[in-house]
Amino acid sequence: MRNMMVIARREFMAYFNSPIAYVFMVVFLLLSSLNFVLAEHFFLVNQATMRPFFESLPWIFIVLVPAVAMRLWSEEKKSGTLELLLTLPMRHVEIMIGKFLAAWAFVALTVLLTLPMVFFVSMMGELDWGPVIGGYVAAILMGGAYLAIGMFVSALTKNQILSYVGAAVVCLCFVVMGQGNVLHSMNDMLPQAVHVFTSASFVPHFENISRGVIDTKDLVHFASVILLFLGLNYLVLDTRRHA
Amino acid sequence: MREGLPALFTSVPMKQQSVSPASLARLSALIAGVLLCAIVVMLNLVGMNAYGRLDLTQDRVFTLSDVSKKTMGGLKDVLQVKYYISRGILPPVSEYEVLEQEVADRLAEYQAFSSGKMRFEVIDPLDGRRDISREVRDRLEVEGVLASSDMVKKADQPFPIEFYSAVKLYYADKTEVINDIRNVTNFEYDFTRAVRRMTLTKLPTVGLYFTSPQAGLQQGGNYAGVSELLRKDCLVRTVDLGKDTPVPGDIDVLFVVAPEAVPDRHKYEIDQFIMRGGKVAFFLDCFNPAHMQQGAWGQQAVFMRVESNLDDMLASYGIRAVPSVIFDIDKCGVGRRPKRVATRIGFVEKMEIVRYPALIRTRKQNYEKGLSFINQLDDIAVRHAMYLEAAQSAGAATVTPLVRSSNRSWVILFEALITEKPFEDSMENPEKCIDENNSKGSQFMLAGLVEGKLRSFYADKDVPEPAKEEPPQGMEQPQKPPEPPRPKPETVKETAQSNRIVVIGDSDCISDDIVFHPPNAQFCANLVDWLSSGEDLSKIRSKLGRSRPLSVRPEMKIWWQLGMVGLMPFVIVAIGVGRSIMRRGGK
Repeated sequence: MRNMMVIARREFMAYFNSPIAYVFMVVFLLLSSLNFVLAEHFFLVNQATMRPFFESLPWIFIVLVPAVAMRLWSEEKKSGTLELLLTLPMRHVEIMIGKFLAAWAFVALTVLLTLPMVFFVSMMGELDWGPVIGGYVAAILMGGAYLAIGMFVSALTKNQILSYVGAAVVCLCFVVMGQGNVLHSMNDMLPQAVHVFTSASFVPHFENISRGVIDTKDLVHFASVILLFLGLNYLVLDTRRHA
Repeated sequence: MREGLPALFTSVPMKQQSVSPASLARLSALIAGVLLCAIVVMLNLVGMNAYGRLDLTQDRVFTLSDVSKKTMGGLKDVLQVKYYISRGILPPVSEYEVLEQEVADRLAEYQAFSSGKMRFEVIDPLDGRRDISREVRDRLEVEGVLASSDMVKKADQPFPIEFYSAVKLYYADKTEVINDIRNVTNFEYDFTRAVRRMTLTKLPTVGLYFTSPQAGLQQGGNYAGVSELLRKDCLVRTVDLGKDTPVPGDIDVLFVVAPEAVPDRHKYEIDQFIMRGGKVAFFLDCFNPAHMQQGAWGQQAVFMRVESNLDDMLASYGIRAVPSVIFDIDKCGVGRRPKRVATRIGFVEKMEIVRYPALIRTRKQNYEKGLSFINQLDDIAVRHAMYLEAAQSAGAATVTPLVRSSNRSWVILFEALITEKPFEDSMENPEKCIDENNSKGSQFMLAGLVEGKLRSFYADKDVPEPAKEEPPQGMEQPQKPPEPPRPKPETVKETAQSNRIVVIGDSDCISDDIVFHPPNAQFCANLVDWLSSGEDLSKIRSKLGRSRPLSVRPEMKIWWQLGMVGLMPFVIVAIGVGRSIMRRGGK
């Protein structure tokens, strides 16, 4: 546990040693706020709600979160430090979870940097804070799920670009499989799969929490996706050690 | 030390040394991966059936309210519920996919509070088939269960489909059906209302009292809509005081609608109804709107004052309706025949619809916050409303403004309407009108609640004589029979210890033109609920469709936008640059 926290702290601080973290944060803040204020016509709709902001996050995360995840293993592999890291006197699982926690904390911090926007909205109208809290919980959980996917893909390759694209595609699949058009097509071809698609997709679970209802089934869904991809990640690392 | 599932496989003693450790590791990882996936699927299946939720919304929109819990706790007989959902032909969008689960969750919650008196089952009437057969349709129609329809896209073409999503309730010998359930937003209200309708021994009765012959519920009347709306939850009937009978005892709430020259005897009966504890809502008018519409078009206006003959009685209760018209440009509507103004810029002609400040769409922030039957509503519309003010109550009643105009409103007294042309001025230059008439930004009471000890207007007055029936003209007067002995003088009930009446300075708000505007319809229903039985159902209803409008001055929007979009990126860039400079300085 202690080793894990040491890794997590070191990795987290490392983000801020380069301008990449700042660029990532600024791009995320600009994308999400511009989309919310301009594309979603916040002032035209004239409602004190953050729902449109949270609804756009699954799409914005597809572009940005794999960028955080891509370097987690690929960079270590490319620079040859992975072997060194794996020979440290700590368990692989500790290294993996430490890295994951650092990246997750970084994504969570970035998402929480949008809080001033929420305060602005609450100053303009009577905001219901329940869905806002739910929205942030959902965003952080979904960020964790995206990261776990990205980290797993990153463990498979040493090419960062490939890692980014692979993670983005897998995340995209998890999002679009809950979209109406996809479900409609699936309904025509294989109706039995519609329910599986809806259950597996991030979107219904994300929307459920972001409307202000924290349900066990949604928590279990995100937790199990994180667990699944971290587990697979561990297996990849372990296979590599044996190889 | 080898750990985890891979270790389990690699630690098995192998006889055939031809398999390399790397291949073995891969194989074990593959098996472990499959096992992991199976565990995750199992975990999700368990999670879907486990029930635990935390509702963070302000109004607990997704949690059963106390009213619903109380209703379920009061069940005396078994309540059987069948939820019909055609899984095979639901429109394939995610909101419908979760519908069955959400409705089932709600029903499970109802069941938990029913002390074992409620049972429910989910039924697919089509057994997974993707078309509704004639036989199924007819059978369900007999049950009162109707198919819903929607459009889906097939090969990029809109295609109509029909599906079932309905709940049928059985209680003793009564049944209720909730058809066309597309989401659970209204589900609690619909379900609890249905249960109440089946369990209540008596529905509240609303009496509608009209004096104007052209109003009323008959064909061509202006108020058939409100009756139609109220019939969903109550018994509704007109009250005829023409025979000088008291307001019937079974009336729980009396709506006095657009009263005009109310006969003294009727006034007395209404007063005594209030003193007996009856609840009354007065919808008053200042002038005849039929003439008003001409005036709004810049034609010569003829304003006919409507004398209700209730002013003195209401004043004695503690509230006065001032003959006037309120204008408000904060959020006004467009008139029924909107005036269009064309402005030409070069070759381009711009048509603009002029807003109509006498049609006021009130805002939630101007409603009484302490009363839940109204504080959750928004956007109640009134037209040509007059303002109300507190008067010296003969009893000990207090007046609470229920709805007020905004601080961008102004009032024109009726006398000025006759002599000047304020309507035209109000439309042409509303800002000037505000400056001239309401420079202090006052708000005017549009609807008020009078609550407390009410003293009868007739406490120290003679009881009005019943109207004598006059024979039709041209008929010979029959010989007068000898006068019967005068009945014993009626005893006036002088006080109502604790009662409440509501006065609204406008009857248009429940006329057919406006009452179907959802907030107005909700206001009427909430008013009846609240006046007749405390707050009950209105607590559920008020959770729905809650609007949260922004209050931003147009000229300030750009600054808000800049703040929302630019503030944090600027701060992050500043921190990044600052940190970079500090690090360079350190080196």
